[in-house]
Amino acid sequence: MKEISRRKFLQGSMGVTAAAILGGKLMPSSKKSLVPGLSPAQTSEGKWIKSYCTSCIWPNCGTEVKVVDGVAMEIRGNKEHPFNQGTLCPRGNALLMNLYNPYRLKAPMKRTNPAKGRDIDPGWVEISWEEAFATVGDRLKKIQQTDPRKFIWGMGFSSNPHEARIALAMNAIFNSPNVLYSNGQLCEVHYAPILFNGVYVDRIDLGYCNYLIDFGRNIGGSAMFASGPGRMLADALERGMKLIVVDPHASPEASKGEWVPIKPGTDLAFAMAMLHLILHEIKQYDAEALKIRTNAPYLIDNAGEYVRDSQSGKPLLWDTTSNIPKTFDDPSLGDVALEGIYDTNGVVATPAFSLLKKSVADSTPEWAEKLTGIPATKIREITQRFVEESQIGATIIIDGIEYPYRPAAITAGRGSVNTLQGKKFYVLVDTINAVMGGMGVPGSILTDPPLVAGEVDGVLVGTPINQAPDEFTIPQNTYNMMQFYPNGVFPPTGSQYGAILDPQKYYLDYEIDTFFFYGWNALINDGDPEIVEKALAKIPFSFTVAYHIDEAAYFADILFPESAQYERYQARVIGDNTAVGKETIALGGIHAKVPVLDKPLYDTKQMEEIVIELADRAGTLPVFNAVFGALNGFAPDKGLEPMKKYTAEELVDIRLKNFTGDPTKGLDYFKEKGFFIQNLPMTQCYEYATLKEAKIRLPIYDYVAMQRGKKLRDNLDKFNVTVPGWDDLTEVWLDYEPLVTWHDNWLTAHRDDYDLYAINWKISPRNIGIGGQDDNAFLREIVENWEFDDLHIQINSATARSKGLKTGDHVLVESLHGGKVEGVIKTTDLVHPDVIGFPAQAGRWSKYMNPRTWQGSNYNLLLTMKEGWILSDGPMVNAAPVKVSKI
Amino acid sequence: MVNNITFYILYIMNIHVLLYILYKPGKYSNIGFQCKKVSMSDLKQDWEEYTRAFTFLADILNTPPNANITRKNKELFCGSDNPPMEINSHVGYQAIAAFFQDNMNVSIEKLVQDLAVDWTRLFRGVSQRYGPPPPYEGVYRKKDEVGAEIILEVKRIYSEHGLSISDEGRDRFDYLGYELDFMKYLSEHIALAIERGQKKEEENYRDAFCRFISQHLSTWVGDFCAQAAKYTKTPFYSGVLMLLEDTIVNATAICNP
Repeated sequence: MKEISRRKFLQGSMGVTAAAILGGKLMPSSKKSLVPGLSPAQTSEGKWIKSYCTSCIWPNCGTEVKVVDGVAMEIRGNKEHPFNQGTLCPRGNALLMNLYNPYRLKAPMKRTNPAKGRDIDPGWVEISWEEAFATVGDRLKKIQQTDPRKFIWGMGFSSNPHEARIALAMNAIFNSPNVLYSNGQLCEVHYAPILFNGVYVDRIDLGYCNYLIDFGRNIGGSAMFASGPGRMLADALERGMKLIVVDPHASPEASKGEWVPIKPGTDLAFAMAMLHLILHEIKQYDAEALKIRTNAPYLIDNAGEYVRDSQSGKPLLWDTTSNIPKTFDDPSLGDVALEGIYDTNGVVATPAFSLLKKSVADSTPEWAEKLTGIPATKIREITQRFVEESQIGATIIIDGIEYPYRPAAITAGRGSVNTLQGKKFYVLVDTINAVMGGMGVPGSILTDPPLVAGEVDGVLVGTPINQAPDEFTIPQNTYNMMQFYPNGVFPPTGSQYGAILDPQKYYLDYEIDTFFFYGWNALINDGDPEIVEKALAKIPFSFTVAYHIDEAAYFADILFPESAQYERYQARVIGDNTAVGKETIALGGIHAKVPVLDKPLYDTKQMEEIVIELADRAGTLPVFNAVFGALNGFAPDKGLEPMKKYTAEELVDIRLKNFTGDPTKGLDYFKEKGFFIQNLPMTQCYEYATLKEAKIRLPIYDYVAMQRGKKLRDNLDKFNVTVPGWDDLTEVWLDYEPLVTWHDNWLTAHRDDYDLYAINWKISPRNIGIGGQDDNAFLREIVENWEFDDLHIQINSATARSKGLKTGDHVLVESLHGGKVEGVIKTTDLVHPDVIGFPAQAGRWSKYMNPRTWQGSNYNLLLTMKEGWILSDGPMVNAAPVKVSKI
Repeated sequence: MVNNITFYILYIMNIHVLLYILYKPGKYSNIGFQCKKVSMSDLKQDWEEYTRAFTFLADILNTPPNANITRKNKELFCGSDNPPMEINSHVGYQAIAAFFQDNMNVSIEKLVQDLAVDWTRLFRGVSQRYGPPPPYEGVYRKKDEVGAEIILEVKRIYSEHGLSISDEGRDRFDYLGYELDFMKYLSEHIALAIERGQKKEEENYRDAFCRFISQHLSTWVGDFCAQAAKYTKTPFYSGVLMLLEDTIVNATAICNP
């Protein structure tokens, strides 16, 4: 002590002295510190590291990251990459923040407060990786040894499931059927493409299309796939393609074409009127295509069933050449009937086309005008032009193959499809394309190759990822509820949370014990967050691999920190989605990335490495290795060693060599080149060729859906149960009609009290929130200041005047479902007079998120996922009747 | 438990007294690098004091609380052989001591958990409303909330001295823990140069010390401490923040006699 008191140099600095005392007596030196050993370094100009962008769902853009002396400083598009050719959207340019975001998770953490709730402090503490792995691994091992079904997996778009493909197979790895999606509630868009293109997401052939009618689909600037589709749309417009955008909101696409404002939920009426005009007034359609390429000539009996050959059981058609019924695949089949009534061995039957025609007999444009608000003359004008532009009978030769040429198409997207009857609307849209001889041909709507699909009765059957279980059981085996929604693509999440809270009501005899989620955030992406909160609080143990603490991670017990997007080893197959042009239609290959820094900025790992460790501890490592090989198409003799714990680097290296078929083209090759191009043959891009060769037809009569409905009815009767949660099953049964019909419903019903519709749309700087998009300060600044779509609620100018509202007014918006949000309005003429519009996503409520994300209004609070209000096959309706009042 | 308001008042008073002492003309103008009234041996010891002070502060930032450290702390402040309250009257030191003495009967496990929750809240940037902006220089100095240029600048300075972050270290180069560690390194080498009579090296290290403190730490640590003080739940970290700020203020002052 004498030494200290004697000091002159530090005289007066008791603080330094005190710290020095403690430093001398207490603290062992930390291992996390600066260490000597390097030669004093020279500064450098830096180097550009090849990579690719993962700021959207389908990462196709090549990038380069400039690293100077170990610090990433800049991102740019890779000019050599054939997909984006050096371009990069705002999201891609902002990804530096994804790396440096100071509010990322930086090390494993655990909650010390067992109570869970949005206002309860979890008491986070950082822990070692070993503690995190041991805590979770022990639990998973115990579940594997008792009842693996008590594990449930959750995934969504907060991360990137299409890049980290192993996320799609987590159920197999942990041996449980149970899964919660937060990316499926608004994805009703997959059913029709599965039906007509055998694929989850169809592609518009902008390279040849001359007339495109777009119902609520983002194609260019606002889409998540901005680069390829955006450029291809621009090219098509420059070439002279006419674009009609039918939407309650004037999107950027609409600004480049003709905007036809429509009342939400009525798109089906518009499409029915179009088909009415084509079949009953204009009477120009591609009969030849209908006869050969669809099930339109299949004979249907009075019960709606196919009339079948008594010997083979195959569906029959009426051969007008020989005037007898023949099976669809009879080699002697001549010309076939599309209309008429036929007696087939005592069974009175009519071709499916006749029924289709009859189904729209009364849906005149005048009828549709009353529902859609669009003048009948406009519907007639659009339909007439569509028919003319279809060029029925025209052909085109591409790469030596002759295809039908149909340079007119109708397309649909989430905005029009995730409404009541929306799925049927999309089916009808593709039906119209097929009636005109489109689908799978130049100028029309295409598959996303390679086409992997089968057939039943000679008709295309795509493969949805969430099929109903083969056997209907009570009690149910899974929490996915799909046996009650056999025509659905994704599990109905409202029912799933209901089941977690009340298993007995949903015919379940076990409870969920452990929830592992990645990119899942139903608290923001779905309606009714209070129900999700209760479910999360009830599940005894949750853990996540997370980039930051969002609303969902807030409820976890253990947080595994995920490396940033430029800190990972990944590879992704190149291929454009949603819309293609001549430049991009055949583009295929793979690109890869490596961490741009020597080691992760924080104490993080990438998801695959965490899952490998957990699988090892749970005893399922061989399954992981088998699943990884299967997902990436490894030949059996080139699979992974079952018991080896591979690193992420090794996995990507193996995958790349496997894909390229060249042992020299592993990670080292991609570090230098960035990508490997392997273009597809045109016959794969236009599935017409594949289907023609396989003699597979398209289903304008959805026979498979009808059979699913019948089977469901039988099972409900057999077990004396009902579809849980629904008081009235009318809406449920509509899902199984083989032909589309119009039904008035709660969305389209007129209400004096809830006199507006709330709608929502994506914007480029904020599409589906991948990788901390909302927390990205760079992007948020754009969202806040976007000229057209900032954080204001938008209301039509005339509507606002009639309600005494003006720009800047603070309003309360209340939905029919009970949801309430506040916000500030902006008047505009870019939305339909009957709607109130919410651009992008705002109003995040996690106190752990950047406070800038709290600004604006949370649109999803106005929606609901409760049974009775959802779509008949499970997903949420993305519009809601609302009323607005000034506060 | 010690009253937080009392601490705050004492803290403010302490800073003012310190600033008065440091900046009063004449009286202490001979301290620092123009020092004439102290011996070389005293100077070496004084730099060693800085080394120990920065060791303590860097380790606080770089190591989450654990049972071993907490037990040592508790033994120091609660042991009968070495009543530490008498050795230093700095309010930060007093707060740290009081924390352990007030929690004398609390289990180590509970103390570790309380400290770990507070440490995570204060230093790990969990969120903007849960705690202060995390202690990265770039966050405090750059409007874009990233500060990549500063990360690069700091990294280059470390590299000039042949330093890098250890394999176990996983944080940005501009993390406070590393910047304090760098100050420890420089203090240590100044003392070493003095001991060896290496005037040129001493001068070089002193220049580096003063450049770094004036161009980096002094520009943002005060802001961080002020913001962090609003979130502290344990007097231990209230005390640590006071010691941190005083140490930076003092180190800055000796570079600007």
